[in-house]
Amino acid sequence: MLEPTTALTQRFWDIFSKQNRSKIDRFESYMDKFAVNFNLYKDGAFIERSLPFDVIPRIIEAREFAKIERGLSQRIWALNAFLEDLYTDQKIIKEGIIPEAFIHQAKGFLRDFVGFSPAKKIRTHINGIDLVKDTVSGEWKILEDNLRVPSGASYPLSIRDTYRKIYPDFFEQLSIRPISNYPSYLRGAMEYVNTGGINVVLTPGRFNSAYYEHSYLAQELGAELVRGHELIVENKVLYYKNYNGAKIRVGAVYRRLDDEFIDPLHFNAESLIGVPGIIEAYLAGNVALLNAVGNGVADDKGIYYFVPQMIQYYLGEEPILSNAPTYLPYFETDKKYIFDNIHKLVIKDVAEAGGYGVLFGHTMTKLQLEDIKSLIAAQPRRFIAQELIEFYDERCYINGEISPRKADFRAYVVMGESPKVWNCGLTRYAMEEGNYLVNSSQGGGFKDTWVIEETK
Amino acid sequence: MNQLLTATTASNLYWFGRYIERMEAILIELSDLFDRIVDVDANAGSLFYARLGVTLEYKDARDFINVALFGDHHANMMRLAYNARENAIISRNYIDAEAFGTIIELYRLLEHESKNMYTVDFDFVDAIMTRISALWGSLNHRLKRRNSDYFIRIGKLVEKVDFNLRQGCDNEFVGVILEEIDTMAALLVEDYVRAKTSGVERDTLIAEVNAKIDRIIAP
Repeated sequence: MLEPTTALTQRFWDIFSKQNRSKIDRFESYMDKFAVNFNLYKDGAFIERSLPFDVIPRIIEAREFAKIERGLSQRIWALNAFLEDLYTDQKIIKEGIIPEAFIHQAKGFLRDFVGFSPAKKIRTHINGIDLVKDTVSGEWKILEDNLRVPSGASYPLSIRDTYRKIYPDFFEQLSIRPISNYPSYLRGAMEYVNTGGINVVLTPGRFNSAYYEHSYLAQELGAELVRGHELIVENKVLYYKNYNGAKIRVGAVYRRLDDEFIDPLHFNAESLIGVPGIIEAYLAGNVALLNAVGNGVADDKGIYYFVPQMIQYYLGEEPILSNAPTYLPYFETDKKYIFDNIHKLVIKDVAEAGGYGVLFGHTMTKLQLEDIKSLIAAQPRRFIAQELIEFYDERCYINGEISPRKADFRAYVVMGESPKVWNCGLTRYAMEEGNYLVNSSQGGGFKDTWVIEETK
Repeated sequence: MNQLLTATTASNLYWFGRYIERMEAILIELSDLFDRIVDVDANAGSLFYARLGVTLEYKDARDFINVALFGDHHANMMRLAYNARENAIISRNYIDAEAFGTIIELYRLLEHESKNMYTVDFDFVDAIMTRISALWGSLNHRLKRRNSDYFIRIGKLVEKVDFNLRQGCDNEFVGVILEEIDTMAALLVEDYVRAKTSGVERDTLIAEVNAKIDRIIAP
């Protein structure tokens, strides 16, 4: 289902109708030439490919975006407060808002880190929040929170300049909010918690899916791009190893690898991409890690269920943006509802990401539904169930025709002293009509997102 | 503060310069060899490649171009472009964007042509040469040089030395290039001591050049 046309979107289509469509190929040429890639691993093989791009942007009117901004700022304040509380006083558990056992069973909860507070008590520096626009209520709903290493901001950022050059009419005739401030948001967030030293972006390396993004963001925010072996820890201080043997102190690390791999001395001993000793330096307060270690607990899809309560508990406010209706088989009443309605629900594995571990009840056979029920009964903490939200399709220009595709919207919130919601985001669309999985790692493409003022 | 670079990145930039230079040097020779195979000596291509440690067999001048570009040997253009491209991807933040884009396009062009059922002709060699010239141009357009530029340049010069020594060129020319390498090394490394090259033997000279690089990039 497509969103109804408004006066503003009609202005877009009027301009679009006058454009030379043969120039659309130039986007692909640009992405190929500059290797704007999101690589995939398929059957163990490394596939280098540029991220598919659709020329028709998602348009969000500024008035509508204002609510998203307020809602996401509120959510990030609450999630940051939750993580800080969870790893220090644990009031939210003591007061029974979230069951203790539920927290302790979260894969991303790191007990070793209880008692440690990072620089300025900021844990949620760079956040990607996935939303969809519900066709029934017409409201934006939050699908999940990504508070570990969300990727994707570089793609709309890099394509926007090209868009302006190929089709300047849109930018002359519509009041599209500029987006070039994202690197300065990142730089600001790093500077705010920097413990003294240079800023670096830590990448797993050239064969990571998002290596393009790592290098692009490092360049744009003026930080050094490094791999684990290019950093060293001495006396609990982290250093950058220069080519001539000089060692330069590092004050903040925008790490693009998960907790599990960041330090072989503390986590996975077989990690070859981490920095031995970096956790010791972090715990000594000698370096800031963005995002904080242990944030995985907030990415847990079971914890997502409690975010509205967190907003009420920590901020004393009602949530501005709501979650998709979610059920936890951990609670008996919810489990009964799930079992009675499983054929129309979406079942998600709480620890999975990137579109993995998602099952759609309406596509499953009776036997498969019975199997999943048994699995849920055996491991209730491992799953959540959600009502299938019929979210709006976006118009895509595919093979010379405009056709609908399911699309979500990943918004980025960067937190220094306070959260800043970027005037853009990654609109991800599914390659096949009717498919609900839009993730880049599932082969989905992306669109630019234009926040447009109503008048110019 | 001088531009920061890790040893790995410096090494990637150095090898990027070397592979591009190697491609260009071989392509320049191909033009001459093509004519010689046609007019003078059908075996001229094999002799040239033997000095690079490659055994090359071909039927005629056109086949020579195809084997030189896409044959199964370590000096084929595809492999050199692939290596240049890999080094560029890893160190892309330190390479001019247009130059980076050119090596990506160049490899794609070679890859596409390698799958072509028709054999390439000399126009294709010219097309690659044009792109390499554009690439060097992009790398040199900045007025102020950064450390990263010097590493690419040193790579280019070391490759020149290596290539000329392998092709038996005179040592005077090599000496001039080594002077230039030393000048740049002194800009990159504090207290860099210019070591005189003693050798007249090819292998000794190559070893001495490699030792210079080891002094610039700390392990």
